[in-house]
Amino acid sequence: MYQTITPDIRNQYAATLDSMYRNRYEVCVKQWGWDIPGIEPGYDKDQFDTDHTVYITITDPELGKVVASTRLNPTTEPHMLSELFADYCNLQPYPQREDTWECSRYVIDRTLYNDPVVEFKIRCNLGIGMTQFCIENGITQLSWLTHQKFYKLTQKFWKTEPLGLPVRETSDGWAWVPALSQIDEATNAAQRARLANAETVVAEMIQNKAIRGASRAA
Amino acid sequence: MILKNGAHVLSTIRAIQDAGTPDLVMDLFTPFVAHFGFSHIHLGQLVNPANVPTKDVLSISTWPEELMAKRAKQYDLLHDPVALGALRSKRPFRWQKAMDWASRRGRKVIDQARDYGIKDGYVFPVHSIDSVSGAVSLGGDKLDLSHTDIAELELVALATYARLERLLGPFPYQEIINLTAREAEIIQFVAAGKTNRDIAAILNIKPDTVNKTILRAANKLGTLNRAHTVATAIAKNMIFA
Repeated sequence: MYQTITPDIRNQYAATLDSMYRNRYEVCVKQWGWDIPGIEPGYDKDQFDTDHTVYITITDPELGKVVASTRLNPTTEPHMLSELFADYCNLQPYPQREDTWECSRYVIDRTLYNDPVVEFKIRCNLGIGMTQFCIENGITQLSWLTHQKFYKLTQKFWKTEPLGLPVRETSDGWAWVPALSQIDEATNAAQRARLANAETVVAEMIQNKAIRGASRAA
Repeated sequence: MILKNGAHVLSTIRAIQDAGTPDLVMDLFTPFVAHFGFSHIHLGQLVNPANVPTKDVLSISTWPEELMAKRAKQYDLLHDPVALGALRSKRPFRWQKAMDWASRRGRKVIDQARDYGIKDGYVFPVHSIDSVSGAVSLGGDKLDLSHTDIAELELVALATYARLERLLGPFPYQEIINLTAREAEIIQFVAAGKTNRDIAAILNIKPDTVNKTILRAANKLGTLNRAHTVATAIAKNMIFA
């Protein structure tokens, strides 16, 4: 189950946040190879972890640490698109609205789980936690700088439109697309349905994995 | 700064996302790409047609039916350097670029399209976390595109592909890359510097089987050669360094 950590209860969750920063470093820097300027080794906390930031975290009780998290910032305050990637937004201006928040560091440590159903449930719970916070707080849109693959995924689950053209500036060649996704009750219901049918959904994925394996035979 | 053509790109994407049928999607996409000089569209998921029936994958084409029939009959997709490049490339590329890695049979596949007047083109790879890879291939003649043109086309192509996948799906999904035990074993020997003949002798199998297994692993990993395959398999902790 997810935990929503708003600024007013942050003190009660200091240990959770500490674990989250370490997990983010593990995934973003060590696994994904991101070069994040200005952070301490082993600890991914940057200028966008602000007094206004809301976190959604998933803690694995057996492992005793945060295994997935995301960060939400109001676009009425300085945020990544406004401060670092404003020039990426060349189709429409970056958002600065009370009903639009920015999602970043959408992180799941996929190396921790061998059971795809467990990992799938974590992924679903993180998405549900984020959507639930948005709905309860009148947030109707999320902006994000999406990786090329994730942009495709956002189009599947949310009504998503680009804020700018794809940009390829990192050495790995993948594109990044600033985007805006609509959040509503339908999104929430779809995510909850996927969680409720996790075993079936994952079984289909596994079956299709076999099809894919066969399909790519040389 | 907002791009001059930005409003048109956005309005096209919004219209595509609201289109209720595949025909309506194509009615929006076709004139958009025609503006850039493209007259033919061929898009779909990239899977082996010998193993997965076309009806089970996203596949839409405005290419000449005779050409499509020929391609299907000869399983040209398996040799098409544009399709093979799209599986591995993260960025759009011109068809001409695919000639760099085309086999002799692959060159024939491209020449065959030229015979039908589709002389030049670009392909826009579509990669996803939860789906097989695909591509949107656009054919035309006398193309002269800027980087901005290509990026605009890429976004609209991605929106078109996503909408068609939504309207026509669900299709076989979920890209989870895993080497089989035999694939990992053979790549482990490749990493140790063994030739195909060496590996065949060690495992008591035919060199051709070794070669096919390596190709299969490379296809899964999206790699270009033996060294790339070994490096990727190590990086993904699939074999020992």
